[in-house]
Amino acid sequence: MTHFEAVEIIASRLTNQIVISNVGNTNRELYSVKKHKLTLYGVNMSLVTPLAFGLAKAIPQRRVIALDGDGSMLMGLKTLATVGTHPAKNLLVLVLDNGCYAACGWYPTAAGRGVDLAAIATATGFKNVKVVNDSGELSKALEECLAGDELAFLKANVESGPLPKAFEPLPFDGLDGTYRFRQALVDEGLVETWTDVTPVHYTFKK
Amino acid sequence: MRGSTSRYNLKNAQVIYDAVKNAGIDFLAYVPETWTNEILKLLLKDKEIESIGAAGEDEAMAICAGASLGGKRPMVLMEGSGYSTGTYVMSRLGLMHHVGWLMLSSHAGGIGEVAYYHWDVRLVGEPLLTALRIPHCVIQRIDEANTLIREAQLTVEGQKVPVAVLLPHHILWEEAV
Repeated sequence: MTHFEAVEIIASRLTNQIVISNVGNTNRELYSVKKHKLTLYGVNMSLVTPLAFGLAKAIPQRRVIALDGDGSMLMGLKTLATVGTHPAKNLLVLVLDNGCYAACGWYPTAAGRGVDLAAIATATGFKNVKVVNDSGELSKALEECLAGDELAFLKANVESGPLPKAFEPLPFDGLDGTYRFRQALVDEGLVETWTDVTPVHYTFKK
Repeated sequence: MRGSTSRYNLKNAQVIYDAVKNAGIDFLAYVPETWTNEILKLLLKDKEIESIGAAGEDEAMAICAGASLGGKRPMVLMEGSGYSTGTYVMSRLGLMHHVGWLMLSSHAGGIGEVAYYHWDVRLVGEPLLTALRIPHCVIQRIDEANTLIREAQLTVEGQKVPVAVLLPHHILWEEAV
């Protein structure tokens, strides 16, 4: 299963879930196959899972997917310990593990040198941990995780290498992407409108 | 803390906790530290505030950024050295993605600090916030706490930017007589 094939499967399962997407190829590949308004694209390395975790805590009624990579996860590895000990039932941490830093020349990550991220997730308190190796397994595991009601960690082992085609950069930057994402949350009725900032919700004490 | 003559100023800790409540904070990510210990105790007792014990200040900031996007009014409680740890997060999520959250910290390295190991924090703490254009203030008098924390949170929500409120030694500690 290539990285892009995994992204295509994930995209095909997206409905009303909130997605926080890693930078690099994941970001571009996902956007190329699914213009999903509830996705925040291009979140930098190490920040995907903690950001998704905070969102999952704030919006417990909606499934949140942290679409992370092994390099990014390794950069912020302590987050697994925090998430595992403060479980959010609506969070799925989905790691596309290609064992390398694909965007910059396929240098191996520690995962590529044998570190087992799924074992670390288990050790940090995740009860539902799955590892998949092909398209069929990914489809099945994804379906189960999205239907479930518990914190889950899903690691998809994917192949890396030169991309079959060049994916265009997203047609918006991080700031614009965030505003689009905020508006999508508002449109879904998940958060209050964010443009009208007034202090009326305060009851100041003297 | 400057030795056996220092003790927590419990009254001021209560004032700061009350100010945090008045500002509407309902979500906390924290990394425990000595100076803000009494404030943290009060926050953790509060069932209206969801609390996450983070493994690092950078992670605490990222968690709060997510909570902020999800409609919460989050705050990071940490040591002042956490601004160095969290520079990447403030830059990426705060400035590039335009997400705001409140940060309340000890002013490690401020006036009254004596610990040699906070020398570097004095050198880079506030200058770093200035360089990042992160709005910040130091509470010099406890009667400013309610106003400054409230105003800081209004800037978080209005301008969608992380805002830091720093608490120096004389606010958090008192000297035994």
